[in-house]
Amino acid sequence: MRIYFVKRLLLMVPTLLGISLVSFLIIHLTPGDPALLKLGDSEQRSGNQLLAAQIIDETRALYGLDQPLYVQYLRWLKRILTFDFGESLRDHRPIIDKLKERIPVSVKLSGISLLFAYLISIPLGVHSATHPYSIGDRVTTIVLFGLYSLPNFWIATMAIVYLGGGDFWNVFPVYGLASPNAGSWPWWQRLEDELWHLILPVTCLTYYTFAVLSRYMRVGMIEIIRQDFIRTARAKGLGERTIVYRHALRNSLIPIVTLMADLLPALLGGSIVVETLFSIPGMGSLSYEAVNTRDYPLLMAIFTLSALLTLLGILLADFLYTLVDPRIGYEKSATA
Amino acid sequence: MARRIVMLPLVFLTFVIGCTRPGATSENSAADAGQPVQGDWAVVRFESEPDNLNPLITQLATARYALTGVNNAQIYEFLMAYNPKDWDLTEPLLAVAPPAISDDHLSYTFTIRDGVKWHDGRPLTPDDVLFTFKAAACPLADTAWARSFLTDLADIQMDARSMRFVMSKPNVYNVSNIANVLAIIPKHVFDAEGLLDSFSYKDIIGPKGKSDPKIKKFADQFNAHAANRAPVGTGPYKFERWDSGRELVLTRNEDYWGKKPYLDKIVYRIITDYTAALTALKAGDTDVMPRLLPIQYTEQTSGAAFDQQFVKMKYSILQEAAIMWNNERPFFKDKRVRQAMAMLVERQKIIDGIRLGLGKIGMSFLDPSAKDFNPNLKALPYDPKRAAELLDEAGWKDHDGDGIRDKDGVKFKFEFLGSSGSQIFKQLSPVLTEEFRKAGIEMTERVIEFSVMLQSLKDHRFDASTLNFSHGDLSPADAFQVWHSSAVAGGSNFFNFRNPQADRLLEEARLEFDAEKRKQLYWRWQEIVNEEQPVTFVYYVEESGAYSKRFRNVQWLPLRPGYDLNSWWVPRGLQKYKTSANP
Repeated sequence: MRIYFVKRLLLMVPTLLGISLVSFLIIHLTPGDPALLKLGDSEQRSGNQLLAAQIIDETRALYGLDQPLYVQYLRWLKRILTFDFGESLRDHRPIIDKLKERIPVSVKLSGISLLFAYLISIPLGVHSATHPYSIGDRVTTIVLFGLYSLPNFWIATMAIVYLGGGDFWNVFPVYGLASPNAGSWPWWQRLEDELWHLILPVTCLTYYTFAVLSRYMRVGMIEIIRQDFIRTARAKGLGERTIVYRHALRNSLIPIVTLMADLLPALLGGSIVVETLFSIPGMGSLSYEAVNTRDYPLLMAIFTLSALLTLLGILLADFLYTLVDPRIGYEKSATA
Repeated sequence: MARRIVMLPLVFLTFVIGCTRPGATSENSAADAGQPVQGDWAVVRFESEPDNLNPLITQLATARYALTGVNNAQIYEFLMAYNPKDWDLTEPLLAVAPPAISDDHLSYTFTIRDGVKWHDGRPLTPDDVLFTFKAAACPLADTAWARSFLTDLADIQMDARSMRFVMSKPNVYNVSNIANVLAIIPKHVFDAEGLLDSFSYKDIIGPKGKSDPKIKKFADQFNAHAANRAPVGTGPYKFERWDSGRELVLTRNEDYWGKKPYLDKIVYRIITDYTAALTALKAGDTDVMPRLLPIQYTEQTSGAAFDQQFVKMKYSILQEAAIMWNNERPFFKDKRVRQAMAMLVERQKIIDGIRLGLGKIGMSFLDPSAKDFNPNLKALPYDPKRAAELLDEAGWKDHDGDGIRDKDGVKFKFEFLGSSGSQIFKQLSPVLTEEFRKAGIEMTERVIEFSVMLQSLKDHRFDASTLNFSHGDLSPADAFQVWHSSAVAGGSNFFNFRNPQADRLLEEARLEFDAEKRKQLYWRWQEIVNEEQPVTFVYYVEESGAYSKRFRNVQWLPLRPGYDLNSWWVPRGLQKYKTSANP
């Protein structure tokens, strides 16, 4: 099995290369020009644009965009081999610095949200499956689907208006992840402050995932519970708890594990909507900005990073399969 | 720490609802009462974060607001500022007086102010000024925006504190291009090694500028310099800190050479969402919200509770919303058609319905408060009947009876291009579609992302589109590159307007140094544009904002971003923030 995973890891190299090439082409073939945007945003007066063509050319040369695409790609490849993402076109800061600033924010936000999503949905799904069509099952189903159909930008806006201390209750802070003067506080106060700030965004990121996850869990579980080996377990006289949590649960985790492949990229991906509504400087808003300003090196860094994490996520999921279901092995059927 | 579970008692809520003061207005009666005192902060909402804080490199207006404020002086300063009487560029700032201008209008001599200190204590010298121009002009520096104003600057000569700027062409707006574009930055910070010392301004703009290794080294350092995130200026406020994604803090410069401002600190707090921003204002987290959405202005900022704490107001931001007709398209070639189109646009209804009253009917490229604005202009009225007649006259009739006008086999069907970021486009488009459909014209909309749209406009690949024209001040300095026919290729004349008479007027105006005569030229020019309707001005944008009532002498200038924090102050008893303590 170790050989299999080493093989998979090695296979990731050409895959990543392919992804980076395709991303590079997409990014550069999209209309729009960072040099053109450098002439200023729509809110300021403009200089002599009649001679601007020359200035745009100079700026393109500065960014290395005057070279043929393949040269640009090879240059990028050469840099990336030394783990150098280059510098952002927007402020010439090393991209790695920008990522270092943003990644922890997104990991915190998505991490907590995913943790809650799984912690709550799995027991909910199990309960629904073991008591199918009971009142409890029906009520959870209706509530979860109700939540699922509420768009999170709307919920977030409502929360901001009613819980943010405008005209109504002043319960939660509505922007950022720390109070403005938190820097001077002792660590426990800072922690409390941050958790307090996290409640609304995390809620808005989490609530609608309950429906999907618990549905997966419920369906998987119901299928398992009807199988012969569960009947055998019952016949042996095992307690219901043991049957459900030791025998059925592990077997029904397969679909959930499949979903976990998305976990790693999701941790880093951030959410544009929630980050914008709650003014949180995370990866979502960074990516959005990078697209809008055609910050090519930053976009490439983000694309490559999420590609890498997706591949790792898939690999991790494949590994987890062997844990939840020992029947799955990769020794001989590796190529199948 | 006040922000913990604090539930407003229900009693208070009903009290608030129960006693709305009738006729509560946005007056600021006590505006100038009392003697101004120092103290307190202003916490201002910023809707986006600056990209960087180098005035020569930034491409964002927000960065400029923080760096040079509303009238050319905040962290950094310009050579000149606008005077508060007619908003001409006549106030000296880092220059001691307006420049001496040679008779041929080619050389401009400024004397640099003595006794000005950088925030790190070093004195300002003419070398700093020269350095600023060299850095901006350097083709290897990331200074595209700044450089686009320097295309006519041929040379700079220095003699002690006097600096002579030599231009290659005479132009009324030369002074503005020299004294009102570049914020002066410190040489000792940005070029500590003196890499540019051995090069003259001429060298930099010549072939050496692109290739010399020393200049290349300088440019690389300059583009990524640490001071791009921690500026050292000469202005009334010093940079204190920038918490990425959170806030930007400035402190009053106690060593300022000029009139010191009153507020101890200016805090720009970044709150990206409008609802959250208004909530934060109401909760007392911010003091100034420079922009409200129209719906927030009309509905969410009223009532006694709000009026007790805040003042809200409307102000002009020197911007017009306009519909551009691509004058080369078969249907928009004829000026009668363009006039007809304008007459189908019911501007007042659009202002009332979409902007909720925040706007004035658009007429011209110039703001009505500008000196060169032609007050005799009459906006074409909303008149579908007359529009139909004009279309008939131009030969656009419904020959085949399918409900859509046509001419020479071409149907009057066009695409209205807008950007996905534009709020107004989504609302404007259905109104126009309906109005045009009734007149036998089919309009479809196409929404694309802003930078793609910009490219399409530059390449003239559109039928009609909408854009806001923004101006930095009240002068028509920017008219040439938008309206002159030479601006079709490369400039901002996206709509292919070519009119020899209008061209000539613009050319003459740039060379007319007599203000009165120049005004006549611009008046005539505006008449032609109004008659030709290459672009239909829909409305002058009015913005609305709200700020805490504790501020006195709250001045909003007819310059962007409007609020002039250098003049605001707070009476002692009302001061909220002490400099020593945090809020």
